This record gives sequence, structure tokens and C-alpha cells, in this order.
Amino acid sequence: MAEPATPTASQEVEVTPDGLVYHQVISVPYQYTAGPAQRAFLRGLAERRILGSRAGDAVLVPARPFAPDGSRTGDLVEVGDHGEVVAWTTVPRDGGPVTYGLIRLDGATTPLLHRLDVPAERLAVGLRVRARWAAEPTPSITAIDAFVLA
Amino acid sequence: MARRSAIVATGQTDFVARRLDVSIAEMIREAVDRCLAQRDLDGSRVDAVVIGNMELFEGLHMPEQLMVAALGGGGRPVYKLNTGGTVGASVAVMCDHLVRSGLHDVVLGIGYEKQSEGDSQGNITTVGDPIWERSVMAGAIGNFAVMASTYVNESGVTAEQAAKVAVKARRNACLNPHAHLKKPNITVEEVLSSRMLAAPVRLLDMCPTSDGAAAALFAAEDLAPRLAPRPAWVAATATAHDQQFMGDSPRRLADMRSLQAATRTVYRAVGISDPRRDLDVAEIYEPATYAELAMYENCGFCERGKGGTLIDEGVTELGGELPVNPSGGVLSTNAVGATALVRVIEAALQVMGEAGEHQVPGARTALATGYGGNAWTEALILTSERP
Amino acid sequence: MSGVGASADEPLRLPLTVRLPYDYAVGRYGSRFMTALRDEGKFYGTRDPVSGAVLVPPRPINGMTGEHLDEWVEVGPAGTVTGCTIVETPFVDPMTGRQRPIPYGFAFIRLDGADTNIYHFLEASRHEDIRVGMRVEAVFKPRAERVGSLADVICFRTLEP
Repeated sequence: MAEPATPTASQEVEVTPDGLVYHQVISVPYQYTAGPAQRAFLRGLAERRILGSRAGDAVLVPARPFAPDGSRTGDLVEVGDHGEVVAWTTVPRDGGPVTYGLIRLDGATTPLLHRLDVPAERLAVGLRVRARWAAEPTPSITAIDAFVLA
Repeated sequence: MARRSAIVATGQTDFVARRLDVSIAEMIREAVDRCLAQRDLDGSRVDAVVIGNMELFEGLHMPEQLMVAALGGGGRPVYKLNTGGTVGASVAVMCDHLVRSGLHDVVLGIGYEKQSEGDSQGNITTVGDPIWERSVMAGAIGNFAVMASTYVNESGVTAEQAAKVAVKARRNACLNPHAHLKKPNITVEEVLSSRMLAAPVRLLDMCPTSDGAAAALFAAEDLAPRLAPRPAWVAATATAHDQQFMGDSPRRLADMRSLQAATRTVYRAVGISDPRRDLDVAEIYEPATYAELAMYENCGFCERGKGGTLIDEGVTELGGELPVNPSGGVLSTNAVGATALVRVIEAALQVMGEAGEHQVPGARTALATGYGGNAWTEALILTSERP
Repeated sequence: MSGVGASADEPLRLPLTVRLPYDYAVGRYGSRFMTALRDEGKFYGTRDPVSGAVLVPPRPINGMTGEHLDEWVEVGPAGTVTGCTIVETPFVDPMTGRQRPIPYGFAFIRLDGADTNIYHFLEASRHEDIRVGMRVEAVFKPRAERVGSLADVICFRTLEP
């Protein structure tokens, strides 16, 4: 495992009519530990598989250790990589607009948040989409590049 | 007179440098499960949850939101605190106040930190004032060392006396299954030859950073005796904060005004006039050996300037007249958000008679303190008898 | 668990570097102090009208007494060290991202005329060369390099022979 990068930072002093302003950038590295359910989910993604956790009759995606009522989840369940859009929004970004959606995959109870790469005029609640996998998926949510028209 | 609260159950993870096997939520759940299991309770007994940590160490704002499921807090009030190093004690004080207020009968207090996930020295920068302190801060160790130099200069305590505190702590830790640093064979010589970090503070004078969580269940007066065989009654609490900037008092260790104020308040509340005689055990928040010596003085265990004498005479050893930190203290275990709650929990275990191998025989009255940031302080007195 | 390969139990950590930009307003009191540092090479504090204490950093309210402060007093440039250390442990300066060269001196300094202290660096690298009570004075950057921050003072150096 790579060591965290060295933090980088800066300070610039600006003089304004109302007084000085310090522009500071603090850059801090973190290394978040994935627990068993999260490891299974992320490593599953690296194998182009999407895993959820059983909680009673529900299948919670992404896989997770606890259900909303605090009980521990049960077995891992594989869900499909096709599903339908539950909600979506498009936000302006420096590189152009980006669309995010909540996608309920076939077999899942809870929707997954991810990017939608769909022509704007086709975006709609209920739209059928499928995962577009990265060329070399790694254990990360970015193993899925985006969801596209099914 | 508002009804009392008592601690009826506690739980701690086994603190280590890095918990690579669990996420933050699972780590918290471990402590909560141990706490409830101690009395065979389940989460449905909990009316409200109070949780604290130093958010900057994991870089997660509003972590309680992400962890509602892990807390079993769905649909229940969850209160989040962040008061720096003393947050665990703030959590305990708030749990007591919520129960005493009558709003909730059973309140779960949680403190945690997963320090291995961040760069503690780097992100502690955000504690410093951006205009006056950030560009010159020397990290937690450098800042502490400067204050220690003032205390050493005034009190004349020696490096040997400080080293004795380090030895006491790491040996006591061997009797505590949850403690992080256990060194059964540590000696004064080993401490004195350990690497100098920032004079006078050497490596073995300093607390570690740990991953872990702690939980304590507070119950109302009429419920407590039904939930625990011998509840730890919260007899008094006090909170005292001090100063606007770190430089307002360099004598912050020599003259810990907020610790004096908080301990005097709780002593007065329960009728303690001579803490060395009237307390059976103390769990105090000592970030480093020199701090423990200074805290002996500022808690009134001895006269000002005599902190070194107390350790020389063995008064604060496990078998001494007033054992201080029989758990191994912060010097042995430090997951910042949990640390001050662990002081309260360890004090509670003592008066409940459940401290196992580090039990002080017959302990009935215990002091617990928290310390954080700019000398923020909490103090609590826990007793075996209902006040 | 359905099979996810032999590495299922191996730890998995997700690196994430959070880059946080902030724009801090120094405020009326801070700006006056920092402007004086930049333009005059002088330090100022504010005096509590009741207790007479001169507080540095200057501030609108004395937090301990609640008094409003609006009397400005020049303090320093010399001062007394009230706490000091030589930092020998590696520490990445979060304001620059570079490690500070160690060892370096670091202290609380009570500027002459002030009742509180500021943090700053000491021109020293050995314990033998520093002590509580030593007299020091500020070493300023040349005027052209000063920007209106505590970094306009390079460090404090000893006044003692």
C-alpha cells in the first residue's frame, strides 16, 4: 500500500479596502479503511460484479455492514449491472456539465449513485441503463466509468 | 433537585495503532456491542445517542450521519460534539445532563478516533488560529514542549521524575486488556535514552496515537439499579474553558486555571476537602509525562511545585495512597475522540468493582478529567453510593 | 460470502487527499496589527481599560473579563522567552507542504509591554543556547519582502552575549 502523499499548502495575503485576507490552502492526505462488506463490494467491482447485502427481504447496494435499523446485514448478493434511473441531475463543472443519477439495479432495493453518460434529451426517471465498465477496473467505484443507455 | 444519572454499562475496543480490518462504523459498533452485551441489553433500550470525535483527524464532516445504522440510532436523537481532546468527557457530561434533564432515560455516549486514516501532525494544523498561529505552529508535540519548559522551569521537576510517570503508565497498561502500549519491562533508563522529540519531551514521555472506540450507557436514577449490579453514580460534573489564544498563558501547564476551576467545583459539590485523602482513584487526561506531574498539583493532590515528589514517593502507583491512571492512562492509549471518555469509563469500572487486574481494592470515589485544545477541561466525580 | 477471491481478508485502504482552500478575513484588529508589522516593523497590542493588561494578539474583547478594548499600545520589539524548546522531530509545515529543517527553536515570547505571549521561532538549534527568561528581539524581513503576516518576522534572536 502506498504511503499517503506529503501535504502541500500555501498562503497568499490580499489587501482589500476592508482589511487583509489570507488565502490559505491546506491539503491533507487520508487513507480510509474498507471493512469486510466494503472490501467485498470494491473487489467485486474490480471483477465487474456488483454486490449488495441482504437485510430481511431487501438487498442493499452498495454492500454494507449495517441496515438502517442498526441490524447486521446478511449474505452478499450479486445484482445485475442493468437497472433503471430513479432520479438524476446535471451540474455545471469546469470541464463541462456532468450528470449524476440514482440507479436501481435489477435485484437491488436501494439505488446506487453514479455518473450518467446519456444524451440529455433521453434523461428521464425510469430510463433503462447499464454499467459501462472501465477498461481495467480497480477496487474503486470508478471501476464503473458511468451508466449508459441499455 | 434534578434526578441523578449513573453509568450502568461500558465497552471499549482493544486499542491498537491501526485497525485495518474494520471501517470507522464497524469499529464504533464493536464498542457499542460490548457495552450493551455487558448487561445483556439491546439497542432498543437506548433513547438517545451522544457521539464525539475530532473530525479533522478523519476529514469527515458530520460523521454521525454516515453512522446512524452503526449506532443503531435510526429515528432517535443523535447529538454530535467536537471539543478537541476533551470531547470524550464532554460526551459524558452531556449524557449526564440529558438524563438529569428528564428528557431521556437511557443515553448512550460514544467516543472514537481512527487516527491511522489521517496525518495527525498535518491535520492538527486546523486547530491553530489561521491568522496568529498556523504559520508558526510546531505540531502537538512542539506546542506541548514549550509549555512543559515553563512548568519545568517553575517547578524544578526532573526528567527522571517524568520518566517514572512513563514507567508507571506502561506497566499499568499490562493489566488492562484494552490498552495499546504495554511495556512490562520498561525502565527509567529506557525512557531517558529514548529519542528527544522537542526538549524536554522524549519519545517515551509522549502518548501514542491509536485507533479505537469507547461507549458508556447512562441511565436515570430509578432505572440504574435494575440495569447494573453496582452502577457508577455521577455525583458531580464541571466544565471549564479558558483563553482566546494559545499564548495568553504560557504557564498553561504550571498554572492550569481551567483544571483548578473544574476540580474545585466538583470537589465542593461532593464535599471533598482533601482530594489526596478523599479520592480513592483518579483517571486524569495526561497527554505526556510532564502534564501528569503538573496535573497532580493543579488537581490539588499535592502542593504547587511538588508534583515530582508525589511520583518519587510512589503515592500515585497502583498500590499507593492515590492511584492515578491504573488503566495506563493516555500515555498508553490515545484514540483522541475516545480518550477522555475512556477516563470516565475507567473511573466507572473502578467504583463498579469491575476493573479486573487493575482494580483499586475498595474504590468508591473516583475523579475523571478531560483535557483538550486550549486548556478545555471537564471533571467528573463517580461514586459507588448513590449521592 | 460468495467467492471474491483469495484476497478477501486483505486490508483495503482508499487514499484520498482533501485540498481545502480558505479565505480568512484577518479583521479590523488583526489587519491593523499586520499592517503595522509590514509598514513600520512594529508590534501593537490592545489595553484592557479596567485591568490594564495589554493583550497581544490585539482583540476587540478581552475574553477573560468581557471588556471592550480600543486603546492601542506599541509593544516590543524586544521580549522575554517564557517557554521554549528545540524541535527535533520531523514536522511537515502545513503552510508550505515542506518539512521544516530540524532542529529549530520555537518559543512563547512576551514582548516588552505585553501581558500575553506570541508563538514564534528562535534562532537556535541547541538546548544549551535557550532558556526560559532569556531576552530576545525580532528579526524582520526587509520591508520589500513583508506582506502583512507573522512570517514578516523571520524569528527572534538572543540579545544576550
